[in-house]
Amino acid sequence: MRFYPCGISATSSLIIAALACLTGCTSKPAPEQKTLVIYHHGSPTPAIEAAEKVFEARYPDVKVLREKDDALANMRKVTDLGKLADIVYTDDYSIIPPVMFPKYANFWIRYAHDEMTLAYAPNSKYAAEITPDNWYKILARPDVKWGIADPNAGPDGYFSLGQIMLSNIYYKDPGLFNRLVSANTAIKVTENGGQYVIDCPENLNPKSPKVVIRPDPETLYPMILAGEIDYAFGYMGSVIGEGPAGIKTVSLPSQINLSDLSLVANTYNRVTINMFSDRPDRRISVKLGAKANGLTIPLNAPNKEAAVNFLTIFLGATGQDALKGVHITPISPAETNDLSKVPEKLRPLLKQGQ
Amino acid sequence: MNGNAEGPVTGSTVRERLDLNSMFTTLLVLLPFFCVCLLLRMFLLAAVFPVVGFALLVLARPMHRRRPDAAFVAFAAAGSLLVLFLILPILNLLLTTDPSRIVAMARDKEVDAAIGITLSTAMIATMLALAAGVPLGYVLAREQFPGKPIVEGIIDMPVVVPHTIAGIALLFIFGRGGVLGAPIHTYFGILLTDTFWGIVLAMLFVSIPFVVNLSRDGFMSVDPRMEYVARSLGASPISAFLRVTIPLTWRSLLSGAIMAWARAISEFGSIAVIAYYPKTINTLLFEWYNFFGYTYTKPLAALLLIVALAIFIILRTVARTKRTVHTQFQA
Amino acid sequence: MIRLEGVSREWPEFAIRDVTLEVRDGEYLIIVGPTGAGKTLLLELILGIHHPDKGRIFLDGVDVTDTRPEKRGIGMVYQDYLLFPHLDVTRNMAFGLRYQRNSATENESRVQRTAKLLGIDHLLHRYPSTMSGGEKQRAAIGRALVTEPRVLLLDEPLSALDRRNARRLRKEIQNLHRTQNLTIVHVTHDLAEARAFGGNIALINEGRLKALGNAEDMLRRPSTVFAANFFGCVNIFEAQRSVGSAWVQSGPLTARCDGGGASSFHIVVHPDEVMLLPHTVEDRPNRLRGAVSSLTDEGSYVSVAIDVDGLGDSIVVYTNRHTVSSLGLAPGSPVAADAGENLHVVAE
Repeated sequence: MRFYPCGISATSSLIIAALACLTGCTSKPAPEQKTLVIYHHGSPTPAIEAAEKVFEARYPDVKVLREKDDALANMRKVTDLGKLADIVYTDDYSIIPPVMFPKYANFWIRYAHDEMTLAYAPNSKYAAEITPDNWYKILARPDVKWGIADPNAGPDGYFSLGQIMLSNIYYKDPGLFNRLVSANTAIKVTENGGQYVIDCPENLNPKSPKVVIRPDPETLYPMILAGEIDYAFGYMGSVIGEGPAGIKTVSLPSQINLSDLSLVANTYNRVTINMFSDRPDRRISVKLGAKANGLTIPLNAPNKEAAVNFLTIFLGATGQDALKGVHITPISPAETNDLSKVPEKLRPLLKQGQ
Repeated sequence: MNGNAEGPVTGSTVRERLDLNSMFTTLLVLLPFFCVCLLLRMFLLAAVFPVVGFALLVLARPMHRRRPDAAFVAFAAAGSLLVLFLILPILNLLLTTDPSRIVAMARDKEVDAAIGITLSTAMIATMLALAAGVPLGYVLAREQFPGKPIVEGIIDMPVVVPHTIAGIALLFIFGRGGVLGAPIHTYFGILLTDTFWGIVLAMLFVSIPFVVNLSRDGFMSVDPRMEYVARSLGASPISAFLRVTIPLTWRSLLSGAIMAWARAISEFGSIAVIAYYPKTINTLLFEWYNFFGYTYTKPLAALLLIVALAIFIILRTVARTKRTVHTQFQA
Repeated sequence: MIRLEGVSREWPEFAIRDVTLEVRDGEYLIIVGPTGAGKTLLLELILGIHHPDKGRIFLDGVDVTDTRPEKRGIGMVYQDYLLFPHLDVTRNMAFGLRYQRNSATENESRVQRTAKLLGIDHLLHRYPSTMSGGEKQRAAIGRALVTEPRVLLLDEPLSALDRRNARRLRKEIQNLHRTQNLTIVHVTHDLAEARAFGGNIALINEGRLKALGNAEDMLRRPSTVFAANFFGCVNIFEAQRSVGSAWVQSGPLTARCDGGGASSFHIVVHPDEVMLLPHTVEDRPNRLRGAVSSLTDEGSYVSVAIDVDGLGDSIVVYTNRHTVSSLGLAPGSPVAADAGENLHVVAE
């Protein structure tokens, strides 16, 4: 069988294929250019930017590349997608070990503590009345609607649950959690000699319109402004870092706002939260700790030296002042779980924590 | 039966038309699948393609021997690269997922509920989009009025609005404190957030543009004089529309519906704001991915892709035109 | 049957301006005009698709200006047939019957009858995409006729057909007109087609009705220069009238003219009404003398152009080959031509 070679079609196919290869090749960066890749979330952004300015002045040959995303999503980029980062920030240091140890990281640094809070706006119901002492009563009123982040999706959610649970103890109101949470959703709590276990099944079933659950607190804040809900559980860092203008907060006592590191052992630790509690193959159990921001240098970071230099600035006065400027209290000196795993240059700046 | 101004046309079947053109096109479109099999080291499966190709070449021998049209084949080559670009990530996802896990997912109660919610809200949203969008598409096709480009621009907008913003914007109108939502809540006691209908609302918002645009283009391809003739025969405007216009344009309307449905299924950002519960598939995917990661979540995504692909193929088969030499209708 | 009074309507690119005309019951009216003159739009106004900005439309004495098209009982056939492609011929033809309250047997017999009448009963199960132009046109006419309309509007029904099919269809339409007692309005840009039908002709240009009358009058005695040109008069000579006279003159041609307030005059001579004579004949009024400038054999006749002294343009005369050879006509040869006594004058 004869058929004539189709000159034009063969040539054009080759050209298209060649172009495809070329575009693939040009995406690699030139090897001489040094970069510092930082994955971070919303609240420490001003501090990171301040440190970045100083860093770039001191080390002009290193380019800082930042990626802003959810903390868990950022960690997943490193653990699941094979992306490389030099520093990974999270809004809860305690989530680093379950997700990134031991293959991708082996230490965490706890550099600032945050506080859990209740967000609202002037148009919220009973906004004029609300105080740190009566907030839980107001939330229980029949015409008040409030929101919480999905506990099965991340620390923002389960910390808020923990906060409500601690309120039972602090305000000496044993029915508080049930009234606010269990009555409106499928979340249950059991007590055992002063220890409390919160079970979050896979389907949280918010059966009454009083409570709405959303992926993260940032989605809840605009809903307050829209009048959809009156109050939302969040934390200071996200309200200040990512909340829209017009959101106010209620300052809650430290026994429940998870900001006091000294209260971890005897107060916060009394609460354990089980996520996906009805799925044995997926259940995750977390002991409630302090809400503290954390970071780590992944084991496969391409430019550890630059990371260390950056963190020296960030953990120093520059970063700390910037953090105070957005109402985030730095832990000074910052703490780590294991000094021996931290790069040498950083050790003098850190303290062993637990 | 003599050929005059337009000669009579005879239909022909696929078998008769297996000339070198079609054959080359088929081979070039199958090429991506061959590449994917090689990349995934499925050599046995990959070997199928050269065998099939050779068989086709041999089969074509007794048929028309016209030299393949160079331009046509070049288009097919470019097309095969495009298909490769689209299919590689998706095939990789599907073929590297453990099938037993996909089956396990399909049996999971939560997953089934989520699939049910996703498919039914998407279907209802598509129906509503058709009910509202097809008449609008008809008006845009037939009428000229001042400000028409503005209206058409507004219809195109939901495609470009970032999803979360769209959700919040919808909340400001339809939420408990919204411009329309507040009176609806006060007088009728109806709330849309965190309900089935809230999801439908979000899906409707993003899928209407497809229905309107594709319907309008379909209607514009029908000569309005055909509707005039129907009127002259005694048909009311509605009757002419239903008996003449729709039978000639239903494929465009179906295309619009398919795109709207697909867009509705893939929506997450605005649904997450308006109605996180009841859970759709995308909400489940989001929840699982954060804690359990990509490998765990892949089977769910694969399941969704398989279901969607099956539905697409069925719908497109229904819309297939008969293969005649002239596939355009001639009046 | 149809009466239009001062009907006007503006579109962005076309307009119908102040059209008044009447079509009697059972009449066959042809509307002619250059393409783009708005003839199709006029038909659509009569059908009711468009509503006039001004003026009224009457059908059988009833004001139907505000009546919807589907209630008017008017059938429409377009130039490109516009058969419904998704229906076969039977269902195309039966389409309008659904809106009438006939019995099923009545409907079936109507379709059969009409198909037989138009000679397409062997095509009843065909689809339009497999039919020829002539067949489709018949089916389109049949579709309109089945609903037994009072009026049938035809928009260039023969323009898409080749000569032989057009002639055949013309005869059939004329036959239908006679036997079915229809009132027909037929639009065309083709003059020969208009004349072949033999009914009244209305001339439309730029949306206005320029002339109305029977074919003979329109052709032989056009009322305007535009009509004269449109109807193919090749000999139009500008003429002058001496003050107070009832005669106008253009060179050696004179004609009687009664046009009272007219300001411009033209004498029209029909090429087939001029007799050629040997140049040696004596003089007579309206007998022209000149030399042949060209001879063109048009097949069934010969067209002779003659340069005449005093006449602005050469005059064209149609004659036969016998005359040409017996008079020995050739370019340059002298010849005489009798234009006749009653020449038509266009006075505007």
